[in-house]
Amino acid sequence: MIRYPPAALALMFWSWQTGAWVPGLGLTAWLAWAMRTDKRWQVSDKSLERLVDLTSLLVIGVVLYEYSKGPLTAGIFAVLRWSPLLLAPLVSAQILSARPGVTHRALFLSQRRSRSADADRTLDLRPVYLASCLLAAGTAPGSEALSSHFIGLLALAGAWLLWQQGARRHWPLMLGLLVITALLAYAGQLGLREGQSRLEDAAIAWMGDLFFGSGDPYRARTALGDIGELKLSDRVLYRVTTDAPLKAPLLLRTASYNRYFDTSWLTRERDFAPVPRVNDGWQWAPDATAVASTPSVRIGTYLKRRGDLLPLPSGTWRIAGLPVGILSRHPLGAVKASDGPPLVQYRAFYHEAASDDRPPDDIDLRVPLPEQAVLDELVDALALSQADPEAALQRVRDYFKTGFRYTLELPGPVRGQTALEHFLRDRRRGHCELFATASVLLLRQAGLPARYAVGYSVQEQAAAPNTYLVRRSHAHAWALVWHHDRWWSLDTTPALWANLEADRRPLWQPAADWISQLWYRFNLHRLNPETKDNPWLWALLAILSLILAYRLRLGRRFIEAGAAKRRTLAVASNSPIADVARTLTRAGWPRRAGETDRQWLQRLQREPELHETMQDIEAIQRFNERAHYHPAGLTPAQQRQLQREIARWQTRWESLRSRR
Amino acid sequence: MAGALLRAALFPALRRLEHWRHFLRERLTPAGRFVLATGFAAAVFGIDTRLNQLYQLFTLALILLLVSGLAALIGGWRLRSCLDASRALPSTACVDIPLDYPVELRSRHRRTLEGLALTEQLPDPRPTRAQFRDPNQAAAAGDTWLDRRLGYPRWQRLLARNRWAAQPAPKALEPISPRGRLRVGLRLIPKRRGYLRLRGFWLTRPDPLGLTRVRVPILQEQSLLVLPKRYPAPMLSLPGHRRYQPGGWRLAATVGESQEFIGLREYRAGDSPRLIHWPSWARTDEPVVKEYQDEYFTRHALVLDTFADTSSHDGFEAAVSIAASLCDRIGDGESLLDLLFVGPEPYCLTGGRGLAGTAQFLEVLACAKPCETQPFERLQQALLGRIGQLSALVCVLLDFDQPRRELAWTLGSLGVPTRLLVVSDQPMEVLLGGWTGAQVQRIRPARIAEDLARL
Repeated sequence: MIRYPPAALALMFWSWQTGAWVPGLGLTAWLAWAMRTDKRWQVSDKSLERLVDLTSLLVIGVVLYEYSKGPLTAGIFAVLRWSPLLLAPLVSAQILSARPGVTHRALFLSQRRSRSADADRTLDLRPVYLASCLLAAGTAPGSEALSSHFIGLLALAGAWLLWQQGARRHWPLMLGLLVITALLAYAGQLGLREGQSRLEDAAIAWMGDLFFGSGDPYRARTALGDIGELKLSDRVLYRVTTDAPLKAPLLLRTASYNRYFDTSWLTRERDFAPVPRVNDGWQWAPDATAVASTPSVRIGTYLKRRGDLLPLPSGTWRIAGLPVGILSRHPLGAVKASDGPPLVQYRAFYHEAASDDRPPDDIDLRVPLPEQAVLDELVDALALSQADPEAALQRVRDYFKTGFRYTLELPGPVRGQTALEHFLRDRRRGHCELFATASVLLLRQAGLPARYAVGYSVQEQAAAPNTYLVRRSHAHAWALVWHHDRWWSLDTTPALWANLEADRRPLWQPAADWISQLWYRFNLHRLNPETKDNPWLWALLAILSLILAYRLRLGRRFIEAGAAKRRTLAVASNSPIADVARTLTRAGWPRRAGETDRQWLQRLQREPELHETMQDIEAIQRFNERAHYHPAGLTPAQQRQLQREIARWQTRWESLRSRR
Repeated sequence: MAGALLRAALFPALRRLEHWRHFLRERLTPAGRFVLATGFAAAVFGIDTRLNQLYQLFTLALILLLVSGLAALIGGWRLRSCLDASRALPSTACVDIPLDYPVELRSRHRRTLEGLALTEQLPDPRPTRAQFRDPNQAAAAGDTWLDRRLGYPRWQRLLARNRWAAQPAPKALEPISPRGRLRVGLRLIPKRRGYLRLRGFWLTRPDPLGLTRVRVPILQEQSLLVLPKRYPAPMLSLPGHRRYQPGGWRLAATVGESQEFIGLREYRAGDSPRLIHWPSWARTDEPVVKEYQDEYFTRHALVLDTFADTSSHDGFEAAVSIAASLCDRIGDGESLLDLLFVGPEPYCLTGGRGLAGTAQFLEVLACAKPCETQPFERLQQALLGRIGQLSALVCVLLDFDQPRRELAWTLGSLGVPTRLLVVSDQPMEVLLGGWTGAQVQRIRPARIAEDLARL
């Protein structure tokens, strides 16, 4: 017989860790009474099934309620946190009905109508309840290695193991093992935390390497020199609303980089500076409205839990309506938001003159050695050294516009040439990373400071006016050039690149967009802090209530069920074992639909609670079968013998039940 | 084809999974399983160590199990070869009837052995590759497309079918004194008919933390015959008159030629000298011999249809159980009973009137196997070869298809009273399908007791 630690200890531990002292103490007192009292109730299978249904609906209700206020994981953890309270009715029913457990038939909807004997197997809910108390106690966040949670767990485990009967014989050995366990567990949990941090760092670095994008503010690996075909998903990432229709694609920058090394762009500056809050918004540059009228865009996007880089137009100086806890900014322009809701909609005010990125230094003029030869030739060919900056910029723009084409095919490495050299000398075709990298390095070779920027191009009009969709496939790269004491965007990629991307979208993309839009609207409404009443939540609650009413057999179904029950009893009264059937039915062990007398009585024989009382039922069964199936039926002597057997069984039944 | 490939690929994984389940069941105590389950749940919910503190619960559970396992491993070395055991098994047992038997343990240890438990080593119930690859074996009508493809429900059913006995709970042993003896009773509930081979025992003891068990084998090979399951059945009084038995009384007697004596007559050439009646020869001075009369007996046959394919395993087992239930319920003490079925070749066992008894019938039925290599006509030939001696027949059939109908029709046309019992779940109208011959009684595999009571 397994001995679990007293539920009271686990419940107190849960109360201590979560601060739920009132329900914790109440449940402790209740379960302590339930386990100690001699009172026991007859709980029928049907009542247990309804109790399981009620618990399931409560769980769903808690998940939905928490989900209405936050992400789905919050709902799941809320259920875990309150599981001792949610499971208490079921465990109480098991304890107070003296059952060994709850049948699979009651626990699983799929088994309710099963005739298999497997459906009558029971699950003891007491260890499940203890596990739920321990799990619920651990849901509170904590960062200390030697926390009260860890110490409490050690104390609980020690108390439990010492309490085990077999263990008391070897208590010195056991105490030694417990000390070793405690030390190893302490070291293990420290290692686990450290391991997760390292694993995350490695995964982030790997993911940053794998996918094109600007998730890493310090490094951007390009697909230069890769082979195959560049294909990004068409998932909608941002929904952008502008003040007026766009005449040209708007570039939203997520990060910029100043060092180029071996097909990767990176930056060594690792510090993000916090952005101050100014007038219900975030502002990092002087108010540009004093100089000129500043346009704005509203951007809606999902935020990752650990924070995300925000896409912003070049020259953004203020962000409004962004409900995040921390906003920080990189010297090269990347803006990172963290500690916010999963979905945000913010307004970015921008003006080219308001750009506050760090001015150029000698790094913004460096060109890698392998590329210097080809770039020198080009600078000479285009006479960039002699031209003034504006003319040089125009020549670079014209150079890429006339002699180059856009393609998503990646040629792979070429022996004896760098990817950029191959692009500029021979292939003259490529994707935006090649154009942007070539532009930056060409401008640097010509003596103009330049940087590499990544982000998204806003150009796909949505159904609503002034609204645009930004997909993952709209990811883009371009150059930033220092001119007239500020940074300017220079996009040399041929303009038809977006059309090429659009042509490759699947047929079902409009349907996927529509579903994505619906989901976005739903989440916008769900997560809006100003929305007090969620109609969808009420609708779901109404549906749940209807299900509950159905399960509890309210109304007509209830009446019909009662009539059917009476009919069943009426039929049973003609049976030779009607008295036995009535006694068993009243005691809460009715015959199931489709069960023969033998199957019913044999099932009850297997019930541990009835095992003793149903031992002598075999003789009655044989008489019953003869009466039913034998052409001659029962002789008068056999009928009398049957009545005697039934009377003897009932006496035994009554005596055993009263003893309990 | 794809399904067969998938099953072939899944087979090792399912075997491994069952091995692990068995390992967890046998090597972990209920408390250990509780710690494992809690630790697993903590790992799932506490995968992010910054989100909550469940990773601490996971670490503690993991370390507890590791330390406990290590302690059990060390404890296992000390238990090796510390006990001898021998059991006193009966020669036969019966399916579903608990079998209690004593086991004697002799300690070879110099210290008192405490906290031990003993359990039987049962044969591995995991299905063979051939069993699992055959999609008909243990298939059920309610299986979904996915169930049929993956075969997991079939795997579970095959496991249950292959299990020789219900897994017994380890029997806790009293402390055994140094070099002392202990007699304990074990209980086994057989679940399959046939020869059950027991390899030995497992001696188990929980580790000091009480989470894992150390297991040491004790070899003691023995076997017993498990008889088929029997159900209560009424006596079957079959019609039909007595038939001439060419073998006469000799057929029905266990010793000698004790035929029915009808008188004396003069000696004729060819008479056996053993029949000479010496007193009459002495009186008449002529050789006189005793004259006997060959007997006319009532002789019944119980015919078992063994022509089952791999999909009708449950039906075949039901048919064997029905035959076992009826083998002592046919005829009276004066009649003979032939049990007739086809294995690798036709097989007939005659009982009654001092010949084989119920025990022999049951032993033969315990070893009956489905006949998959011979056509059904072999049974018909075997039956018709001895039809002249039979007064009445009880046929336990696995189906009522055309070959079986032809057999029933032939028996009817020969005028042999026949009771046809068909093991089937089909409704009667579907099963009979226009049959106008002898009465057919259906016996459902799930309701054998009820249907036998109707006979």
